[in-house]
Amino acid sequence: MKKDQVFWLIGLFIVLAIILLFVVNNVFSVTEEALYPLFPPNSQVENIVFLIGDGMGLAQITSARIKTLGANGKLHMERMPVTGLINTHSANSVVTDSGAAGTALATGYKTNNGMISVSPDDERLLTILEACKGKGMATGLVVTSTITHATPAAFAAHVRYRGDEATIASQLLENKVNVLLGGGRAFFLPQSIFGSERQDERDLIAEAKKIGYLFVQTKEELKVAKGNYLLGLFQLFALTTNPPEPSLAELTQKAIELLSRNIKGFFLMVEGSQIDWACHDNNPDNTIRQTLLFDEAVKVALDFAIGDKHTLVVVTADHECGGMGINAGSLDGKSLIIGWTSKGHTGVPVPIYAFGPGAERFMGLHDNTEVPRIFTELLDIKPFPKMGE
Amino acid sequence: MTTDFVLHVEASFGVKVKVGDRVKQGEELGMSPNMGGTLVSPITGIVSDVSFNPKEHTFVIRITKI
Repeated sequence: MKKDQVFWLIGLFIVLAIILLFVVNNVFSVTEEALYPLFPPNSQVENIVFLIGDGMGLAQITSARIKTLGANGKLHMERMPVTGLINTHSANSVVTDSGAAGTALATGYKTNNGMISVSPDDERLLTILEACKGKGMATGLVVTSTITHATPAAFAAHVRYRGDEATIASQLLENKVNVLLGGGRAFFLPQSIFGSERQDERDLIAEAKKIGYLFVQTKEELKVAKGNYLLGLFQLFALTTNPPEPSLAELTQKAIELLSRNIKGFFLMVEGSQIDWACHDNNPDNTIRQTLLFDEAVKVALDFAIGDKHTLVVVTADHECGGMGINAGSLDGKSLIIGWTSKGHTGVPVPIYAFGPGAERFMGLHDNTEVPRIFTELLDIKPFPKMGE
Repeated sequence: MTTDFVLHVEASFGVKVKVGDRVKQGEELGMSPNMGGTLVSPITGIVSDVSFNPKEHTFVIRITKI
């Protein structure tokens, strides 16, 4: 090789090294700021953990942050590298309920308030969970409400009215969702058993066991649970969110542990259900507490995703609740004056945070129906959205 | 003698009365639990309690007849 060729080769190497350094620096430039890194483009999504804070708007997140970490701190969800906003209106109202919002986030279609994954004309809508299941992925739902409540129901049930929790319970099992963890035993017990909310003698816990589910109802039983199908109902109705129950973070950890054994990937929806309830009560302390419990579950998902490198984690809310505002306070969070404009939901956009491959797709302002559509594009699932059948 | 009426309204859309309010018969209280329409007060009275019921995602309104 001639001397000038060697010179040019060295020069080319230096230029390429500089370009590489520049690219790497830019791709990861958010790292220090956000603490969780952006993934390089074109990483393949194999798993999705979708976390929904029911009723969780910016004030709920911000007050939880200021109260615990001070104004300059960051919750785990706030440290995710991509942030956007989503609009939440339903098909028939600027203010949505959790049924219509859950339907939009699960199916990619708007419906009327109160409806669960059916169109306003009562057409069945394919959910992201069902679409993932059709691809061979494992699926799970984890909540602090009844497992039959509006948000989890929207991912694996189809009913005209969200209050029909007995029907929703049977549909969750018919859909063979691999992991179901939360409250709501009352909707699985036959009516002759004390505490049942069913109007028939069906024993859905016995039926679940017959089709392969392991049933657990304590933290100790959950710890040692194994297998492909797990039904964990820790209360007759909603969880207390206090010991000795497993926390939302522990439930999320167990769900990921079981679902991640599937070589074809998994889809998991986790809901911090009771942020909404605290806001309906206009109770700032419980709103902050429920938001922090939810953020611990976010951390569990992020810890898994960082190690796995093929897991997309998306955090959002179905709607804001209470019209919560932060009217005054100190930077260290020792005092915080909270105001409320409503006892109900409001129609303002809610934040969306993303981490992992494909996270950049959630930048900017989106409609809530776009969220599952993006999921299916990243997972190469077609056709979606889908109505009928 | 007083008579109390207890009514449930869907919580998603809030509640239009608060404790201490005087309501007239036919006055709107909120959305019915099945979201089929608005719910009105069956009597004229004083709102003696409003509480959130997470189990049904409703507000429970107690109205004392006057």
